[in-house]
Amino acid sequence: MRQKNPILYVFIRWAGMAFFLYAFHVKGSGQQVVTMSGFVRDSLTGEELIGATVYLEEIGEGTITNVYGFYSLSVPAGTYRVRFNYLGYREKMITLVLKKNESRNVEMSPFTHPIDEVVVTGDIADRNVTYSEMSVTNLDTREIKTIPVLFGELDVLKTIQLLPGIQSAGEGNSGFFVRGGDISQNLILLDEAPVYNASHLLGFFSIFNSDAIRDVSVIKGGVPAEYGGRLSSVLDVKMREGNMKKWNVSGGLGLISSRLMVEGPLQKDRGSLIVSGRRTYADLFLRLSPDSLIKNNVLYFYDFNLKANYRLGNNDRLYVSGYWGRDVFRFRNYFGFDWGNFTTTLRWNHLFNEKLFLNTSFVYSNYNYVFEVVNEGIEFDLTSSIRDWNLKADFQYYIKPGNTMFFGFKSNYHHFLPGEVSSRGDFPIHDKKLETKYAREHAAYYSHETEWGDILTLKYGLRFSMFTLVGPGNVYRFSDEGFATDTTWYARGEIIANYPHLDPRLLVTLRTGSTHSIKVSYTHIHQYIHQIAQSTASTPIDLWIPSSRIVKPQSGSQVAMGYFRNFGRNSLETSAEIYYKHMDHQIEYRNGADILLNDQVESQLVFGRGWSYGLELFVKKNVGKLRGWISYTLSKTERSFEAINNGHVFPARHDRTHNLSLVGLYDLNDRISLSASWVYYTGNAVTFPGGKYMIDGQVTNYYPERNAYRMPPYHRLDLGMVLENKPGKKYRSSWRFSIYNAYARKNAYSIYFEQDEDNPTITYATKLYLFSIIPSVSYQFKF
Amino acid sequence: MLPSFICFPLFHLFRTNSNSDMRTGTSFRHFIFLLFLLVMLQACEEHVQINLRDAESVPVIEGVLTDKRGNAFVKLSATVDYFHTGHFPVISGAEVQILRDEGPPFVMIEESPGLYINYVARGIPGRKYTLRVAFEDEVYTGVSTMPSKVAIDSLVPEYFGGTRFSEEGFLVHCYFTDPAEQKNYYRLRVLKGNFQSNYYYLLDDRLNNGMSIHYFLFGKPFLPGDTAVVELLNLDFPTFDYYNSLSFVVASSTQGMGTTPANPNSNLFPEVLGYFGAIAVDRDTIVFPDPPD
Repeated sequence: MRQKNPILYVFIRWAGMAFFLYAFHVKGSGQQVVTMSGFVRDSLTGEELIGATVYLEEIGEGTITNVYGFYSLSVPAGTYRVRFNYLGYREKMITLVLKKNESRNVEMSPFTHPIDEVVVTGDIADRNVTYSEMSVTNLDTREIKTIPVLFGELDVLKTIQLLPGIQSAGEGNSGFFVRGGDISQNLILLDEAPVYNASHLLGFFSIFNSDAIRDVSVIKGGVPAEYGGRLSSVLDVKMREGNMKKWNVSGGLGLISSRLMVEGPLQKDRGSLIVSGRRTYADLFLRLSPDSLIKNNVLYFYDFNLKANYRLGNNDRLYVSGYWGRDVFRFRNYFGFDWGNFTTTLRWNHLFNEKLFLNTSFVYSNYNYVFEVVNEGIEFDLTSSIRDWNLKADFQYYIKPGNTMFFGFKSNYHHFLPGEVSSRGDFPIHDKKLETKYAREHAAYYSHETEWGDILTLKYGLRFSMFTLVGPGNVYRFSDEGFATDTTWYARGEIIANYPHLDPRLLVTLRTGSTHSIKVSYTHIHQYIHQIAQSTASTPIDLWIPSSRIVKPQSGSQVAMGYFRNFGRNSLETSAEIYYKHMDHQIEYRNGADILLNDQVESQLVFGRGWSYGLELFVKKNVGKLRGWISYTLSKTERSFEAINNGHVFPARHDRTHNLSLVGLYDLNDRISLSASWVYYTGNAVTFPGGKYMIDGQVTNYYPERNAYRMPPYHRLDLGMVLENKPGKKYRSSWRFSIYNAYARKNAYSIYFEQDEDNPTITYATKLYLFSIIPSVSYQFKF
Repeated sequence: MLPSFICFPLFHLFRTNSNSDMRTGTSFRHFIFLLFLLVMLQACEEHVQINLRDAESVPVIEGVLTDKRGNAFVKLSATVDYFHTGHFPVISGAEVQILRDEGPPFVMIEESPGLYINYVARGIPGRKYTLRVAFEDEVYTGVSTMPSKVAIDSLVPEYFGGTRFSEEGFLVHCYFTDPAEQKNYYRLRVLKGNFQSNYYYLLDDRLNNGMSIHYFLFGKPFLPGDTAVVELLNLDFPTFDYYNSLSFVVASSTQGMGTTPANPNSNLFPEVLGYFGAIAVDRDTIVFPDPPD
C-alpha cells in the first residue's frame, strides 16, 4: 500500500490493540446473555422510527434504532423495564422477562400537536450527548414544515443552512457549503442513491419534496466508515415509506407549485406504498402576457417520488424507491433546455438473527441535460450525462449494549458522458462526441463501536476504497501550455489509472457527566469524482469528471472536538465544536479555460490546496410552546494554488467569518403557530479591481489580488404562520403564510463595475439584488 | 470559446445592445440565469459606493505586428486608480524593438507620447518575432509566431426588424474556409469608421476544423448606407489566449457573475499587463443596402 499517512499506521496499530483488549474483556463476563431486538414504529402510520432510544432502567444500558428502525440489545437474562423514547412521541414503557432471545416490535404514538409534548424522562441524556456521533444534525420533517422559506416552498436544503457549519451558496440557493468545502464535496443521498444535482430552477428549489421525506441527517465531521467518496459532508435523506394502516391523500396548493401525495397499505402492516408529485406553474402566468417574446416561454419543473415496501415474514423486507425530476425550459421555438435526475433504489433488509442485521441495496442514479437549438439552418442537440450503478451491503452486528460492529462493501460503476453534439440539417459543425469515461469505485469498511465502562465510547473504523479508470479511451499528456504532446489509446477494460486508499476514522466520546460529554473525531476521506464549478451558483451544466492520471483524487482530513451538554431534562440541547480541515488536490479551471466540448478538458485545470477551521455554537430548545435554535459559526476558509493569485494564499469565495441563524417557533394555540428566522453572515470574499488600464481600445479592470474584498454583510428576517382547521375532523387542512425578507433588505447578490456609456473614463459600482420582500401563501390538505 | 452556433440563437433571443459578451461558457450561464430572473423575479440594480484600495501603478504593454506595412505599433501605458477620471498615463522614452530571426530588428520610434511606430515593419507568416521593451532598467520581452493567413470568403448582410429589446438594422454574416491541416485561432473585428465594436468575436477550429465557417457578427446594428470593415485576424495561441482571457475580464466586470475575474494571460516576460501578437490580417468591406420592405 502506497500510504504516506503516518497517522494511519499509528491508528491501525492502536485499533488492533483495542480490538484485542476488547476480545479479552468479553471473555471475562460469564453470565447468560440474551438478546431483545425488534423494530420501533409509528402507531398511526406503521412507519419505522429512526434514532428512537431504547433504554433498560435496571442496568442503565440502552441503544438507538438504526436507519431502518431496528434495535438490538444483548443483556444478562432478567426482568427489565424497557423505555422507548422518540422526540414528539409519547414514551412507551414495557416490562419484559428476558429468559431467552426475544423479538419485540414496538409501536409508539405521536403527540397530535407539539403543544402536548412533555419533557422526556431525565434518566437518559439525549442522543446528542451520549450517542457515538458528532457534528451530526438530524432534522425532523415536522421542523422543516414550520420554518418559513422562499415563496413558501418547504425545502430541506434551505432549512439545513440554518444550522452551524452549513452555509448557503447564496440568496435563495439550495446549494450549501459545509465547513469550508465546496458544493460538489457534499455526498447527497436520497434513499442511498447519489444525487448529482440537487437543485431545481438553478438552485432556487431543491429536488427534495418535503412531503416525501421522512428523515434528514447531515454529517459534517466524524464521518462513519460506511460513508466515503466526498470530502465535505454527508446529507442522508430518507424517503417516507407510506402509511401501513390506512390510505390517505394529502396535498398543497401554492403560488409557485402544487403537490399531491397518496399513501396507504398494500397489505395492512405488511406493505405500503407512497407516491408523491409536484409541479411548478409560475410560467403559466407568462401566457397572460400580451408580449409574444414573453408569452411563448416555458420554465417549470416537476418531480415524482415513489416508494413501496413489503415485509416477507419477520426477518425480511423489500423496498423499492425512486425519484424522477426534470426542469424544462423553452425559449419560444428557438431553443430548449432540460435537465434532471432519475434514481432507483432496490433494498433488501434481512435479519440473520437477533444480533445481525443486513441491508443490501442496488442503486441506479442518472443525471443528464439536453440542450436543443432549433433555428433556421442551425439545428443541433447537446447532451451530457453521468450514470451510476452500485451494489452495496451493510452489516450491523449488535454484540451487546455499547458494542456494535459495522461492516460492508460497496461496488460502484460510473459512466460519464461529458458531452455529445449532433447537428441536424446543413449546420456546419462536426458531430462530436466526447469520449465516454468508465470508472469503477469499490469500497469495503469495518468499524466498531465499543464502550469502556460508563465513561468512554470509542468508535473506530477503516474504509478501504479503490478507484479505477478504465478504457476504452485516449489518454493525453500535456505541455505546460496545455497542448497535447502525446496520445495513448487504451482498449476496453484496460486500466488507465488506479488509486487505492485506506481512510481511517475515529470518534471518542467521553461522558463527563449524565448530561454532558466531550467528543473528539478524526476523519480521512478521498473523493474520486470531481465537479468544477465555473460560476458563483451551481448550474445544470457543471461537469463531473473522474480521477485520472492528471486529476488526482481529492483527499481531506478533519479533526473536530466538541462539548455537548443538555439542560432542563434534555429540553435544551447545547453544543460547542471546533474543527480543522485540510484538503489536497483541489481543482479549479485555469484563467480563460476552454471547457465546451473539450476532450482535453484536463489541460484546462489547475491544482492546489485548501483548508478551513472554525468554531460552531448551537443551542436548541426542542419542546414546549416556544421552540427553536440559535446557531453561530466563526470560521476561516482559504485556498492556495500555484497558478492562481501568483501563488499567494487567498480566501475562498465562501469564506464567511460570521454566520448566525436564529430560529423561533411558537404555538399560539391548537390551531395557530408562528415562526420567525433571522440570518446574518459576513459577505462573500470577492475580487474587485484595484485599478484600470487601456488595452485593445477598451478600458479594462486591473485585478491585483484575488478575493481581497468583501460583499456587504447579508441579513434577512423571514416570518411565517400556520393556521390549521379545527382539530378532530377527518379532513385536515391548513393555511401557511410566509414573508421572505420581512424588512426588505436589499442584499447584494453581486457587485460589478461598469463604465459610463458616454464617458468611458468614468466608472461606477453597481449592486444587483434579487429579492425584496416576498409574501406568499399556500394551502395544505389531508384526508 | 465562441462557437457562433450557440451565439447565433442566443442573439435571436436576446438581441440587446448591452456590452455583454456572448461566449458560450459564461454567457450561456448568464443567459439562463438572467432569463430566469427576468421571468420570475424582481431583480433590481442600484449604484453603490465601494471603497477600493488603489494598487500600485504597473506598466501595460500592447504590441502588434501584422503582415501589412504601416500597421505595427507598440503602446506603453500604466494602470491608474479605479475611480480616476481623465487620461491614462503613458510611458515615454522607452527603447522598443521587434526582433526577427532574419535581418536586423525593427526599431519602433515614439511618434506620440507612449505610441511607438515603425511604418515599414511587417511580418511574414510562419516567422517568429520578439518584442523587446526597455525602460527604467527593466527589459520586457514577448514572443509571437505569425500564423498563415486565412482569407474572408464573403460578407453577407441580414436585416433585422426592431424588437422591444433591440434596434432595427443590418448585421453581418462572415464566411471563410478553415484549412484542415493546422490548428487555427481567429478573431474577427468589425470597424465602423475608426470605431471598433467592443464585442470579442473569438474562435478556434476545434469543433469545425477544415470546414466552411459561418460566423454571425452580432452587435449594434448598422443602418442603410453605413460602411463596415470586417477583419479576420489569424492569431497564434498565446495571442488568442490573451484576447480570450481578456474577454472573460470584460464579461465578468460588466456582468458581475460568472468566473472570478483575473488578469488576462500575458505572453510577456517578466509578468506584466498586456501582450505582443504577430497577426496575419485579412480585411473586407461591406456597404449596407436599403432595408427590404
